[in-house]
Amino acid sequence: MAPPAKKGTGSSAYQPYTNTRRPGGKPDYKPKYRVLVHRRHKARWDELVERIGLVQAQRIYDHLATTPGRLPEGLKVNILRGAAARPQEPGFSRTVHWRVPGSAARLDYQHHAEYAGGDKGDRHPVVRIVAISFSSH
Amino acid sequence: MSMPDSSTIFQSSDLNRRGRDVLDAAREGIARIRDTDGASLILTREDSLEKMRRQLDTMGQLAEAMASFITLDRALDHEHRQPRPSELGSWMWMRRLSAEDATEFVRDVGDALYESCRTMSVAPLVSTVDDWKATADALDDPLARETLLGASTPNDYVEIERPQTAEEHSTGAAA
Repeated sequence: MAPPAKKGTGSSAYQPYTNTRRPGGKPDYKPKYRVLVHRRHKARWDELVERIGLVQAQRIYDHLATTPGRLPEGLKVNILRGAAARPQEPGFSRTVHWRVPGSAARLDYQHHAEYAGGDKGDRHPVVRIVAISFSSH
Repeated sequence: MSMPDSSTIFQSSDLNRRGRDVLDAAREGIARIRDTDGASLILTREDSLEKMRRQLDTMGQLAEAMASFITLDRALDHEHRQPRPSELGSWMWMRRLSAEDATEFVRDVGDALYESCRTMSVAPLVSTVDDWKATADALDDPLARETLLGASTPNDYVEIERPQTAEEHSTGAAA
């Protein structure tokens, strides 16, 4: 069994066997997917609430933690093309591009319903946020 | 594009004498009316006219995209050169794509154009181009470009928590 990750830092290495701390007070759902972000974008994730507001940020997280394979209701998302779309490992989805309405913020993520990577190789649903950006075009 | 047809040509005097026949012909498709100076006029249902206008608009968009596609395809595949900005029109953003992606873009647009022409709908083309535009936008950020295109391992990722209010965070409500 892997040692437990530090609670509250959000920056510990990804541990497939570690219980996820229940975030955000009392969410009315049980997260199905573990939501991960690329280390190099962790600072941008921490900045997300300030950039787009808590409601939007929670909406993104809730969608990723529950139904990342579905299109979010009332929102426009794209499936990237070309090299940027290719699954990072076998079984992952193509890259989904989420543009936050009313903001220049964008998130790119892939999901896998039965990811068996990591130290122990247990099967678990995972979402990887591959990139976050705030620049406009 | 389907065009309602009519074999009956009415004279302008028929508007008074055979008004009902003119209207019935128009309801069925189109009624051709020859004016006193020889001009040919058409009377038809408004919804038919609107449908034709939409089809014309679709054809206009597809024709414009086809011209851009042919220009791009000629430059990249036949002349092996980067397209000039003046050749890109509304697809200027595709200059940010790598050579490999640009080739794939042209292939995808070709497929989408075929589907759009086959179904007389711009939706397949719009969706494809929009996805590629999002790709170009995503790759425009240097850090995003690195992580989207670079190799990765599970250790590159850290688990994150649901965003919470400062109050929730400070009270440790989620612990």
